[in-house]
Amino acid sequence: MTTTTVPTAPTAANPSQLALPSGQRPRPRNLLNIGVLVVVTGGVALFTTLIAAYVSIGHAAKAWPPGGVTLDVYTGNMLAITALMSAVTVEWASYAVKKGDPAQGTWGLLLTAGFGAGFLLLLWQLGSKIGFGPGSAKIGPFAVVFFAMLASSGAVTLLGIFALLMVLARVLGHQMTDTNSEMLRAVAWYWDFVVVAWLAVFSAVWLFT
Amino acid sequence: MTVLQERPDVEPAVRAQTATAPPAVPADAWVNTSDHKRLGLLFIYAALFFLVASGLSALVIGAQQASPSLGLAVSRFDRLYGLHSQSGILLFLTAIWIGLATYVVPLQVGAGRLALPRLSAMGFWTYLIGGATLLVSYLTGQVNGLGITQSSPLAPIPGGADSATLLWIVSLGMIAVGFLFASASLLVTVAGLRTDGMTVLRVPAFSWATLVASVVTMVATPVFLGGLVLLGIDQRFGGHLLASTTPGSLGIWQRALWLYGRPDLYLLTVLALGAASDIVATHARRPLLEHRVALIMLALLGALSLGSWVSNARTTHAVVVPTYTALMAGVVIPLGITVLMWLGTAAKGRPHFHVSLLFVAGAIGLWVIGAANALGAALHHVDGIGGTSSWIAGNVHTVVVGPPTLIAVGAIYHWAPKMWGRPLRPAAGGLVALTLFGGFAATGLAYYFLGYNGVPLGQTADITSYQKGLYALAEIGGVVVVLGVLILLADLVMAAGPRRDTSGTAADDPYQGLTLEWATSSPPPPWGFDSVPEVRSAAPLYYLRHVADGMSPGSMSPGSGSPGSGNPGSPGSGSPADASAAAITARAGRP
Repeated sequence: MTTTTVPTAPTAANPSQLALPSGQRPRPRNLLNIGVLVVVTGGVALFTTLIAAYVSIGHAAKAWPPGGVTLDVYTGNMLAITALMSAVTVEWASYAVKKGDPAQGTWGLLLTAGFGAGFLLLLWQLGSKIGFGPGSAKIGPFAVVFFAMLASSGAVTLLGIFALLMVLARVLGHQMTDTNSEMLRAVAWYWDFVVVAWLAVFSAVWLFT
Repeated sequence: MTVLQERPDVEPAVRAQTATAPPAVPADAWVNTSDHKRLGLLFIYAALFFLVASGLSALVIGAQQASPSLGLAVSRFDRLYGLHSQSGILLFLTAIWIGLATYVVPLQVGAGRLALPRLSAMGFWTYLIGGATLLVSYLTGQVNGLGITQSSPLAPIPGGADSATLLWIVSLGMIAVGFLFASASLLVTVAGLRTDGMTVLRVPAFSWATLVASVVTMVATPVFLGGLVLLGIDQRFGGHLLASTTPGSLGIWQRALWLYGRPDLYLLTVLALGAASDIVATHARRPLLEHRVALIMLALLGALSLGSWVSNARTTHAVVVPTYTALMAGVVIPLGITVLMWLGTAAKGRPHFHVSLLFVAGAIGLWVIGAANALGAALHHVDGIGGTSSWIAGNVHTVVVGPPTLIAVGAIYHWAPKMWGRPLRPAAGGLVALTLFGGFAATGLAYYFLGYNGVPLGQTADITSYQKGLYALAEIGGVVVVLGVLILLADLVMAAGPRRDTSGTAADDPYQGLTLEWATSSPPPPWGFDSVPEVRSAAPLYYLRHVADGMSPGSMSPGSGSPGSGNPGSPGSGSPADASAAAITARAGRP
């Protein structure tokens, strides 16, 4: 698709042509942050739905969790602690890069990605104990909602780790500096959402059940 | 992937030579593109393709209902019914509005590009692959029950669902994610890329409607996605959560998954109202009577759309339960006020007939039919909302799908000069408007009367000859709609197809437009604008044309720019740039 515009030279008779071309506009610096806020809003709605379903079905059930299901408190606590530690390290990384210390920023991002990987492993371990599959005695409404929450947490965490590694590559490549750390701030906000989402799940399943 | 194409530094004389012979665009330029104009057109083309699939399945359904002796198996009938409703609403109607918004909104807000173009591109391809997967799922086998078009949860399948059902769930998830990406990009574009002077209350009605729809989509679609995650796991492992025997499952189904209980359906009306507001104001040659009130009404309708979740808390006699009736009836307030505003704008302006106004008139007609039948449902105590009566099929065709479809096609006719650089044929447009209106009205009225006769949705056995006649009327309506779509497609192929010369090329501002999309060439250059006029009102070009230079509104000549000149600022063209030279300020970038 091409234009058929034929601009004429600026003249006194046609002063409208004196308007300067817009040229390549600089990207407004807050666009990524607005985008992340929008994505986080959607994520909050997703987890609210799952937790509401968990609570709603739980209220209607005679026993919740159903008989024979034991919540793994140790893994649940470890998940919450890991998530909280990763929130600290991602903020550390963001602060360090903004203050012009890419070395500490690198360590912060590496640790956050490491905590994220550990978080995923713990989720996997927890999920494998639910006992899905045809013929499993534990399968039921509880298992379906619980597994949906674990799967959603895992998905948003995986996306966060990918974003962290992308930012890490930019920090290592000196593309992210104290004056150009908008993307790291946006990723840190997203990671904070990942942590808060898990804490909400943790509260619904372990604390208030 | 090239996100933004920079304005080339080419001498005017060279550009003049190339203007008459546009170079062919390679196919990979469409595949790799993140240009909002190409993405918008891709959304529109894909939506029209899925419309054909929806229309063809509707014809078979209608034929079976009108002549049960055709002997279509129940499972195949259900499969086609699901395909028709889901491809019609999700794959066509929602997608065509996203396509229109993706093309028009960045121009209307003076950005010339999307805020997150790669996200929009990802959204389109996710939607397209998801849509194709949805069609394949129906070709593969029988999706469990009627899918998300039934108000009660899917039946459990011992041992886990088959591949068709799982494919169907995955495809719906992909479509939802695609729409989510595209909506997020549009939201950030309107929120963060508005040009200088365009305050929130100066945003054009269609862009505002897009903002409202995107905000509600960001809240509502993840709920649907959450429901799909639950449904996918549940169906894969035997259906324990969403079985009708599980206490509390009905609430989850109706609030998260049931198609007709989702706020997204109301958003189609929000977008239609926004586009129609711009269409009416443009052809009335004056700004909307009360622009701010129009924006508030659109926002109110968006907020009320969330009430659709509440309205489905009861599956029977919902229309006569006071709380739910108030929420549903509340929609009439913003709708009615907006329509009155259109009439007032037309009365106070200098209306010039354009075929897109016929589509708007047709949509108003359908809304009137729908409102009359809502009263009829209350008087007859019809079980319409729960999906148990044929009445709901009438309401879906007349209110939910009909008007947004009519206005979407009208919007294509309105913005065609900008999209393809040439206008569509008015005669064909008139024919399309009449056939779409007639078809939707006939189908809707037929199902309404079937509902009044107590015929449950989809029942074709044990019916009287009068009821058979109503089914035949619905089928005729469907055929007429398909006819209209075929005329539209033929018209589009002629406009969008390869051109040998520049004859029939549209002027840059053929309507003396009010908003910024008319301040660039037709079609716009890849970089959007050569220069963006300063915005000092909700109708910036009108302001520049009539206010900034102290001219009275009646002193302007109706034409704007000579066809084919392709120059909004050519001397004596009467274009906004020409009339308001002093008011156009130089701008080299956003603050």
